[in-house]
Amino acid sequence: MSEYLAIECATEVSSVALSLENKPSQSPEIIEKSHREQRSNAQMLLPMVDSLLSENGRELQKLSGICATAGPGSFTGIRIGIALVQGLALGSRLPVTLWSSLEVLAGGWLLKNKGQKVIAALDARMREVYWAAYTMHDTGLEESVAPTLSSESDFIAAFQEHSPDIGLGSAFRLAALQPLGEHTTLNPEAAPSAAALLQLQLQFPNAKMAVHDPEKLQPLYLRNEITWKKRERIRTSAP
Amino acid sequence: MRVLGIETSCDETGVAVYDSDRGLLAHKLYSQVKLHSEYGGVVPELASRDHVRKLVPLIDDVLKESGSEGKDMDAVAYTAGPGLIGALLVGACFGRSLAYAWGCKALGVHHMEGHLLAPLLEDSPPAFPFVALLVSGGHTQLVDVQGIGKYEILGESLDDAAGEAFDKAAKMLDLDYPGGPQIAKLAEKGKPERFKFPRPMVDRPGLEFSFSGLKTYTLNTVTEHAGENGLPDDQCCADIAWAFQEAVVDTLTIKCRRALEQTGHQTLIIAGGVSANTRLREKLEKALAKINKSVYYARPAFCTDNGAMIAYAGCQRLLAGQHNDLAVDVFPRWDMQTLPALGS
Repeated sequence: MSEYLAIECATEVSSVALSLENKPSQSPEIIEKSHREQRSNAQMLLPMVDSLLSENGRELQKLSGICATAGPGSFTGIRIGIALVQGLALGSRLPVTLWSSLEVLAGGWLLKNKGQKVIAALDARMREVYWAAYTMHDTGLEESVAPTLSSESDFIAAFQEHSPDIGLGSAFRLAALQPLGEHTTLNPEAAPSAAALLQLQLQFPNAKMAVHDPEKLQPLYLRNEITWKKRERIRTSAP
Repeated sequence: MRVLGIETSCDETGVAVYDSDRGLLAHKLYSQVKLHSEYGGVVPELASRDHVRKLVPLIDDVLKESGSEGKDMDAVAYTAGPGLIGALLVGACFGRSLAYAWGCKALGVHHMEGHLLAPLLEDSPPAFPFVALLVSGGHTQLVDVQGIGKYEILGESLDDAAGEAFDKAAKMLDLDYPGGPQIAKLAEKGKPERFKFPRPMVDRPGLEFSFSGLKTYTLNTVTEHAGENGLPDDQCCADIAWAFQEAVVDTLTIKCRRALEQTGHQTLIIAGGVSANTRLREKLEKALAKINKSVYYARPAFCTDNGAMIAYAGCQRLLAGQHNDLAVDVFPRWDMQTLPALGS
């Protein structure tokens, strides 16, 4: 059975999707609900999950598993998603596959445009970019550059060196990145979605190891350097 | 009714299982204090990250310890505010979706109501009505408590919370975060009465507090006695710690006595991190014994943030039929007086 619940909330538009095997001879149907207001993700996501399940006569516990993106993206967004998925996984004991938001963004495009080289890039604020590079083969997505965080200028150099067929994602709205559009197609409106996540899961069921311990479901932040100033101490150790 | 409680409003990840028939079955706490002490205070982003790491293993532990499985749980109660929004969201989203997957009810709990009811977890709990002094790093409030949800704030701090003042004074003396226990420890070595710090706002009527002037007074004293490294010598630091703690404790004691006189209640409860302060407990006990009134507090582990108080407070409200729908709401600021009263 290939009935999965997917949750994606790393970017401005969050979405949940359900794959349904209504007719065994056909490929599963994917139904998605999305929500544009990131600030109210916590209010919207679980009601969206519940209505997807109930409208389609499904029970969480009887699904094959849950798929989710771990980031990179908005810290709060990915934490809301991961916290929800941890709770669902702990309560249902369903296995979870975790994907990066960048591979879901690139994968959604590549399923329709096989053979291309794609750079997926999200605006990381502070003049930095989360990005990765992908191609797709019959066996799955190939990550030619793993998700990373770069300054705008380093990213521009890497992009030119890599010379992809297309650049996808919100980073391409950044003013500094506009010159890249002179030689390469850029689609800044492309975003990761729960439906694309499910398509990837169904197309490449063995791409990700299923996680059975919800403790191991953790966000992919990429930005980990400590920007908070540590205290300067006068004493070497407090009495 | 068996309730899992989840607390993630600041820098402690607390979880517990409370059963309305059998009492508290298990509780676990992970404190991030060490992590934040390097920064001299709580870094909200780091706090949120740590909650995501710690919740699942802590919950596994309390379920095991309490001999519970998902099917045994009647509800999940999580802190919905007040607190740090990112930290609150982790516990609330996790708790709500866990309850959904378990097929049980869920309720967002007011963190300060949790503190306020924590003394009721003890063996001989106080009876309503009482005056509650909620005193922590984020709050200093005197509350007239007629029953669960029947709260009237009698007075609160106009500026810093008492715990915050402890933290800041500790920083002036180059002590670790959190400052309360550090100041208390250093004060034990202090010479009583070498310094006499002001007791803010005790000469005026009313039950408001203000600790920012005391903070300035402390800073001035530290600066006046500072040596080359910018700090007074060790004995002088201890003397300052003694004088500072004494000033806070006296101020709190005077206002508590006044609140009891004003309301006519026989009982005071103290809750929140500062309520673990031994000197405060001693002085309150003495002062209230003199006027034939009594003071109650929670065991030290339940004075600071913890999951047990959230499980308990949640359980009381769930028993009365309250619960939340699937939308997760958190409230970084949340007036306790707006909570619905039970049994009215």
